[in-house]
Amino acid sequence: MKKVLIVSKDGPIRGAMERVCGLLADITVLVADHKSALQIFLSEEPDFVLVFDYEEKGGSGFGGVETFNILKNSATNEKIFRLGFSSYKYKDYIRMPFELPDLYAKFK
Amino acid sequence: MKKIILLVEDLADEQVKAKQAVTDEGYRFVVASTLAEAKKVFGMVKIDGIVTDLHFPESEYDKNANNACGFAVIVVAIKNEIPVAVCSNVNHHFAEYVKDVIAFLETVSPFKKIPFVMDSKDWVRAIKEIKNLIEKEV
Repeated sequence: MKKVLIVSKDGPIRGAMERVCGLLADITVLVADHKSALQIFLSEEPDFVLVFDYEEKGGSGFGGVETFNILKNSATNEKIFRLGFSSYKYKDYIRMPFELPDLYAKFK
Repeated sequence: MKKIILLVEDLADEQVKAKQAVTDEGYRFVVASTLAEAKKVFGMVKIDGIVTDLHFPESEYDKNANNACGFAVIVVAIKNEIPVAVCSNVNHHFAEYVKDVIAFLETVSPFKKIPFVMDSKDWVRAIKEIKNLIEKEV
C-alpha cells in the first residue's frame, strides 16, 4: 500500500482530497495542516506528499512555501509535490484546478 | 522514532553532507534553510539537537545570505533547552566577534557548551559534538 499525505490549511480541502485519493486502490491517505505536517511526515513516512497553499508572493502567509521547503529538504525518498493557483515552472508543481487522472498519474 | 537533529543550512551541497553525517550517527534529520523555517520547525516537532550554520537568509523572501541568523537559532535553542552546535566556514582569524558572542551564550545555555566548528564545514565533527551533548543529557 502506498501512503499519500495531504497537507492543507483548509479542513474542507483536506476532507475532499482524502475522499478523492481514497478512491484509488492501494492508497492510504493521511491528512495534516501545516503545523502537524512534519510530525506526521516523520512518523508515517509517506510515499507521496501533496502540499497545498503554495504561493511565493511575499508574505502571503498561506504556509505552503515553508512547509514544502522543510519537507522537501528533509525528505529521504518521499516524492513531494506543491500545489497552488499561480503559474510556476517547477517539475513538482501542480497548478490548480487539476484533472484527477493527472493527479493519479503522479502516484505511479 | 529516531532522535531528530535539526540542520539549519541554506546551501544544497552542504545540506547533502550534513544529512549524511546525521544519518551515519543513527539520527533522523530535519532541514531548514532559513531562520523562518527553523522557527517553524520548533513548533512542529520535538527536536533533540541542532546544528546550525551561522550566515543564511532570514526568510524565503529575503535573499541576503550574509545575515548572522545562526545566533537567533542559538537563542531559540537555549530558550527551549535543546543542545546546539555551530558549523561554519567563517575564518578563525576573523571570527573574534563570533567567538565572543558564542562564549557569552554558552554561559546562559543549560548545557554550558556550544560547540563551534569553524574554518571549514566539518559536519561529521559537528554532529559528533551534538551527539555527545545529547547522550550526556540522557
